Amino acid sequence: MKIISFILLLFYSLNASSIEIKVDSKIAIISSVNIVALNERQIRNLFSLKKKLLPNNTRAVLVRLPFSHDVSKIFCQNIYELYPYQLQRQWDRLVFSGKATAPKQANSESEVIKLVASYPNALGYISANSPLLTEYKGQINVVAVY
Amino acid sequence: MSSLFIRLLIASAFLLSFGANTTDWVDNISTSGFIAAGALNISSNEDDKATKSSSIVEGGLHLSAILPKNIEMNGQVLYRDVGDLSNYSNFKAFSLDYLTFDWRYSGSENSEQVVSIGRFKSNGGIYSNTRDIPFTRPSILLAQPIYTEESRSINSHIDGIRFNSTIFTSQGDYSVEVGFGDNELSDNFISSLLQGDNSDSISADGMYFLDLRYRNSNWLIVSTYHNVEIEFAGAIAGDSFGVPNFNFDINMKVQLENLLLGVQYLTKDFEITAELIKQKATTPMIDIFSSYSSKDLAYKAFGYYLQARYFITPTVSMMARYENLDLDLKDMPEIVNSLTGNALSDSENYGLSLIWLIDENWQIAADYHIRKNMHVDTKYSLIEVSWRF
Repeated sequence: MKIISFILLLFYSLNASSIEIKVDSKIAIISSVNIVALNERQIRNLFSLKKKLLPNNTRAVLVRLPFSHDVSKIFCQNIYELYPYQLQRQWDRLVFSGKATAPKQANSESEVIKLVASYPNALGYISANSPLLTEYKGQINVVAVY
Repeated sequence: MSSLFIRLLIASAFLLSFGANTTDWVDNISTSGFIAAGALNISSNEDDKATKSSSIVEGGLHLSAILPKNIEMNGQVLYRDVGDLSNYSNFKAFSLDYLTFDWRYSGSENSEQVVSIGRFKSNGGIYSNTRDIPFTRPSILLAQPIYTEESRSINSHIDGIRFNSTIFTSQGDYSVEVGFGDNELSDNFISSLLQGDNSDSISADGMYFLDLRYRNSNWLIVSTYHNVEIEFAGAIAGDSFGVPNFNFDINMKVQLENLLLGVQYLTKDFEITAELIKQKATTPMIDIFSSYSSKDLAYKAFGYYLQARYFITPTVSMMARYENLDLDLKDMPEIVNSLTGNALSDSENYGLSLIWLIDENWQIAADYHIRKNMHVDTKYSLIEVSWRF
């Protein structure tokens, strides 16, 4: 009886309300110039740190913005339907168990672009509306927009 | 054997670091870590109405380096002082949590294989690989039927070789992992196993595990089997088995098997987790109990928990958990059952936890747990502040 009451209480609390993030923006997944194409599943697996190698069998270098950054919130919502801190926890589980390397952190979108352009196998994300995409055209590729 | 292996590995790491181009090496190193401090209060309704309070300190430093040829090095050092959390884990010590060299290969765009050598985590269930990392736990204290303090050292790591293969499909990812090697046991585990203080020699050799996992965006299903043989040669001394000034020379082997099954359902607003463990420890009859029974000693346990975590806001979560542990001691000689008293008994636990992630690097957590076994109700209150870097 105690167990049933406990479970009923849990489900009541779960259905009590839901939380929504309003997202009406898109993000661009950017890459080094020699990465031409990646499909959605590859991008999801790379950024969730489950897959580490690119299709050319080289190690991907990932670049991220702080989780408090609006673009990170949009990235987590549009790709994983999660809050940034939920994705951070998934990363932590892999990084602190020795099964993945944490993405490099950039503090601004221009820093993301510069870092991605400086590595041969890098991936990052910035706002799809960012004027930086035009400014740095030729130094990076846009492999997907979400 | 284990410590020699680890020393060789550390020496190799230094040699490799000096051999690599300095700029590339530094550029491909990443470090992270955490420090957590908290307080613990334990009260029980035993005859003496004992209440204990102590502090908790946890810390970790993680280092990883990407080397040429798809080789990586990952290492982590931990510090733990868990106060009165457990009779058997009350220690203050640094430990090498893991140190591996991983070689990674992708045979196709939908799969990836990794071979690791060194000291690695032994994958018991959903949380064991990161049970000491505050930012990965749903509560300060994890479910005790599975993540018990007493068996921490046997389940934490293996020195040896590990192979992992993951296949990525549109339905989700399937992964299989096997690991073989030895385990350097801590004094705390020896105490918990033998309920004594001294040992001349103890080793856990031939340890292996098989871990199968399925994961998609909402579901995680885990199954892990562990097997280890612990060989003990020496003396039990001290107040053991409830007998003051107990002294006995002893040689024995214990085979410990664990089967874990876990399921987790995750959405943006909530997370539901359930895990169960079936555990069996057997050892051939030893002289000490031969006058009481002719059967081999066998200890069996079945434990499970149900846990729900609700994200009140994106950074505040509340967790509620029910835990249950059933012990089957019918193959244990009566003398052991009567001597061990409360230490070996069924238990039922209830737990609540509130976690507030203040920002990316700071977290406050508070726990309240009630543990009921056949004689005693014990209440645990914990609070912990964690910072990561």
